[in-house]
Formats: sequence, C-alpha cells, structure tokens
Amino acid sequence: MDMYGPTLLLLVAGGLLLLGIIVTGLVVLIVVLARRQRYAQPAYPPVQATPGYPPPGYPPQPYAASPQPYYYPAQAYAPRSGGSGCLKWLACGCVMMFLAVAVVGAGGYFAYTSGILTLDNLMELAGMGPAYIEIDNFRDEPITVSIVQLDVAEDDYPITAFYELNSFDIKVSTIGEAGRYQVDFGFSGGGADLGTCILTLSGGDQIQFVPLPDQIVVNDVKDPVSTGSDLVVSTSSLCR
Amino acid sequence: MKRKYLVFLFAVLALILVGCTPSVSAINQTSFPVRVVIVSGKLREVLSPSPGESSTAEVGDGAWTATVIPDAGWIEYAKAKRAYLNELIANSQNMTGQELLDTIQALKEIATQMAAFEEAARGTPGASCSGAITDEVGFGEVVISAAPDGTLLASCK
Repeated sequence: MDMYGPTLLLLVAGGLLLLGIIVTGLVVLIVVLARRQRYAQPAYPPVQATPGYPPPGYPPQPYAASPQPYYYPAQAYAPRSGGSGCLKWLACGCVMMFLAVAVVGAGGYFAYTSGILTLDNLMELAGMGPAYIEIDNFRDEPITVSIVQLDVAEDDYPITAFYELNSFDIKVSTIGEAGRYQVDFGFSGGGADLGTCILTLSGGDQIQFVPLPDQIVVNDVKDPVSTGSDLVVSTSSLCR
Repeated sequence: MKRKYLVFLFAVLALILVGCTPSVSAINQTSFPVRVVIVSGKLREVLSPSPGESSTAEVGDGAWTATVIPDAGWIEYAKAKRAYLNELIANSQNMTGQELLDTIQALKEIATQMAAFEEAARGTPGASCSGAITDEVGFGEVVISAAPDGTLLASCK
C-alpha cells in the first residue's frame, strides 16, 4: 500500500494537470469563438449610404453650380477594439480553471483519504485493473490453494499466493499482473491432490473455481464457457 | 520430503504476502461457529473463524464492510447449491445447452446469495460494520460477539 500512495498521488497530479490543460483549451476556444462571432454579426447595423453635402472643394467641382446631393460611400463596419474583452475572457477562464482544479483536488483528496478512491478503481477505469480468482470451497473439508506465476523474467520473482479455505469458505484473490498462472488445489497439507489448472490471466479477468466433492468447476465469469466439458478443471480448455 | 519443503516455502511466502497486503482479521469471540462476509470493492470473502479464533481476509485499499451471518444458514444454502451443481455437472461431457446455462446461472447466484445474506444481516442492528484501508491504516479488525439474547454483533476497528 505504501508503494501505491506515491503512484496514486502522481496519477491525481497528472489528472489535475490534464484537467488544467483541458480547461485552458476550452477557455481559449471560447475566446476565439466569441471574437469570430463578434466579427461576423455586428452589434449594430452597418451604415447605409446617405445623402448629404460634400465637404468644400471635394470632390473637385468642374462647374460652379448649385450644390448637388453627394452620396457618402457606405462605411465598412469597423469592429470595436477587442483588447479589454479578450482579457476579461482570459481572466474568467483562469478563475474557472483554478476553481475547477481546487474543487477536483479537494474532492480527490477527500475521496482518497476516506477510501472511496483507490488505485484499483483508477486502474479499472483505465481498463488496466487486476484479474480476480474466486474460490468457493463447496467441499466438506478444508482445502489449500496455491497460485504461482509461471512466465517470470529471469531476474524477477514469481507472484505467489497460498490460501487455506475451510469448508464453504469463499475467497477472492487479486492477481495484479497478467500472465500464465498455475493454480493447485489440495487437501490441507498442501500439494495438488485435488487438481491443477494452468491458465492465462489478463487484466480484468474473473475466474471462478468451485471445488465440489468429485470435481472442480471452473468458469470465466465475464466470458462464460460454451461447452459442458469446459466447466470441469480436468477437461476445461481454460486450464491448458 | 519435497512436499514438506514446498509447504514450508508456501507458508513463508504467505506470511510475507500477509505482511504486505492490506488485510482484515475477523475474531470470533462467541462460543459457536459464525460466518463473516468481508467485502472490499470486488474482493468478497466468506470466513469461518472458529470460536475463540480468528481468520484473515485480503482486502484492497479503501472502504471495507464486514457482516456476520449465522453459520447454519450459510451452510444450508451452500449444501443445497452443491447438490444442484453436482447434479448438473455429473454428465458434463454431454450437457445440453439449457443445463449449461443453468450451471452458469447457479455459479453466478453464489455471489448474489452472499449479497442477499449481507442485506438481510444489515437489517439486524449491529450485525454489520465497516472500516477503511488507508496509507495510515493498513489493516482492519472485526470482532464478533453475541448479545445476551443471542444476536450476533460485529464491531470494526
């Protein structure tokens, strides 16, 4: 668990950074869209050409005649200066970002300290959760179950687990690393007298074993078997 | 000789694992057998600490819940389920599609029934309690006792 703490904090920090980037991006997008909107739709209608009188001496008058009406050219709409508006949007965005980061940070801290948010939760959300092996001992005597990782690097130790289950006890074991595993079922002295299953586990797998008096039932909870022979450890294709 | 060596090796490894893995111990202070269901996220265990003894469940980080249920009720259910599974599996090589579906459904119902027992026990004041595994607290403890009227009580630490 001590190993998980810094990892979880790193994940939360990464999440907050990502959130900050997203919020900043949204703010910039909003500002750009707002500016484009303002250019596309003027706040007041464009000025129409209106009759009037030209300024003295303009345009040059070839004849001294009675003043003729002069039509000023229609003025193009000139946008207002956007400097202060842009700054306002950016300021709002920054405040929103800080508020969002503060709220998420406080919520994350509360969830972590209260145990609601865990590394396993986050990993499962990311599709990288552990595999689960459930053992339902439906025999009349205690049994032992050992789980050993088979495909291990030369300089690494295999993942192992050893359990003793009383009659009608149920145990769900977490396997944190995908790979090939050997599951041995035996009487309370250990060993594999009752049966062995060598199976491949991937993240998120849920394998259920139910040792019965005569045989051991196996099932992939998420992807149930399709033939009867696959339900029994000694003949199941899950255990090859 | 080899087998003893293997058992010893596994026991040492188990001790190392128990030392590193968050766990919850159920201590049965009654004079009769009880069943304790400990749930932590997707981890769900049914323990049966003998009178005066304790059993340990592996849990994950975060919140966990312990519920005590009468031993007889659980065993009665489990034996009935076992008989049903035995009957279905007896001829596993020539199972019909319906028998296969029934078997898979029966396997799924074990977890459902466990949840039902928990739910029923929650209706009994004191039969259920909870705790949390955090950076500061890496283990939990649930003490099972019996009230003068025989009601089972669970107290989490």
